[in-house]
Amino acid sequence: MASDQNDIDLLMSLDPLQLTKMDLDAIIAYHRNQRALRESGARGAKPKKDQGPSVALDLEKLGLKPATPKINRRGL
Amino acid sequence: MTALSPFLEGTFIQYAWDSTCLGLLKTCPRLYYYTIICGWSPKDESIHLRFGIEYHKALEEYDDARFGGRGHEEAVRVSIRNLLVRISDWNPDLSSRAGQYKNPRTLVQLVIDYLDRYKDDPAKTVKREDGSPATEVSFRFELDWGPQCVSKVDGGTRYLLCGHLDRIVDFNDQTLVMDRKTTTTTPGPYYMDQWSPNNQMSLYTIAGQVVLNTVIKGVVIDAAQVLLEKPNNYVRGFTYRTPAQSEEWLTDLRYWLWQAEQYATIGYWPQNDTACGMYGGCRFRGVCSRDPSVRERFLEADFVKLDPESRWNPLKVR
Repeated sequence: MASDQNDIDLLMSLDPLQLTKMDLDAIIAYHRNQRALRESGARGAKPKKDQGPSVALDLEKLGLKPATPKINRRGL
Repeated sequence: MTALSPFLEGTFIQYAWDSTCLGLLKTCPRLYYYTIICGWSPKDESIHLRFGIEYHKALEEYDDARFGGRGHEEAVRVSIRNLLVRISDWNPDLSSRAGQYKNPRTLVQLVIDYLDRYKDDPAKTVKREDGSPATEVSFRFELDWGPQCVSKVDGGTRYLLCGHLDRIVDFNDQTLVMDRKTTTTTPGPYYMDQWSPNNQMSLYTIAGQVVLNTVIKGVVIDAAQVLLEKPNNYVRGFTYRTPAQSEEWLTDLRYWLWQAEQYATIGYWPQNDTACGMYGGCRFRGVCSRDPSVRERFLEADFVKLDPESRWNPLKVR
């Protein structure tokens, strides 16, 4: 059974015409499992948002320094 | 294949009507004008449309497989395989609200959940006279009157009523039309109350009787609510029409179509400013609330103008 997100991502990305009976059963079982998880109150896998490539932000490379957090103490 | 125009040649007088066009006209003539005559469509409309089409097709294929004698699991496989093939090129924008709720993943989940829920459905597909299942039943029938501008002497063009019924079923010794809906709002009592009186359901009751030449008492509404974290929610409701109610709907239709002809003849489709807040707010509210001189600019910014071939056309064959 396609039990995790990677398995189902892979299966769903295959050419649907090439899917075997077992692949199809795995896709169906995955969605039934998701339903069971939701019914039990656990969160199912959320669809991925298309957020573009993930890039680490290096402030120093950009010539920027993170601002020192301003501590505002009450009464000071 | 190019569909025929639903308008009389060289005019905006529409002679072929379906529940969508009629519903828009009845709600607000300006809404009808923007959508049907001009072809303005919200930018995310295609997501809702595609999702609805594929959902209906998947359930239809399951129904056909069951009608043909296949078991539940096999019919689910047929339906899901074909669905995956059809949507393999579909990449809706997942960052939009429409795309979050309506995308390939939520679609497959919604279909499988529906099929499992109604695995032992007491509603059975009716067999048509030719032995085929009464699923995705297209109808097109002529009324005994037409636009007033058309000469009555030569028989003239008459009005056509067209559409597609998802399924006709036998349920608890009654024959009913089944209509499937997807929604992102809760299909509670308030949701179900909207179907009576209701333009679409009245037309479908009449159409079912014409197609099958039998008594159809009303429509079963199978509503599916798409949810992202909770299990999808399915609610079944019923709406019935007496013969007198159907007669009344047809009488009213005569006045509505006469009115539509007047608007088209004059070339002016007035706003119904009491309908702007209906169903969560009209899609054109942000346009109609502007000064008439700048409306075109707002339409161009928020909508796409479909080419004539892509516009809603009741004569388009599925």
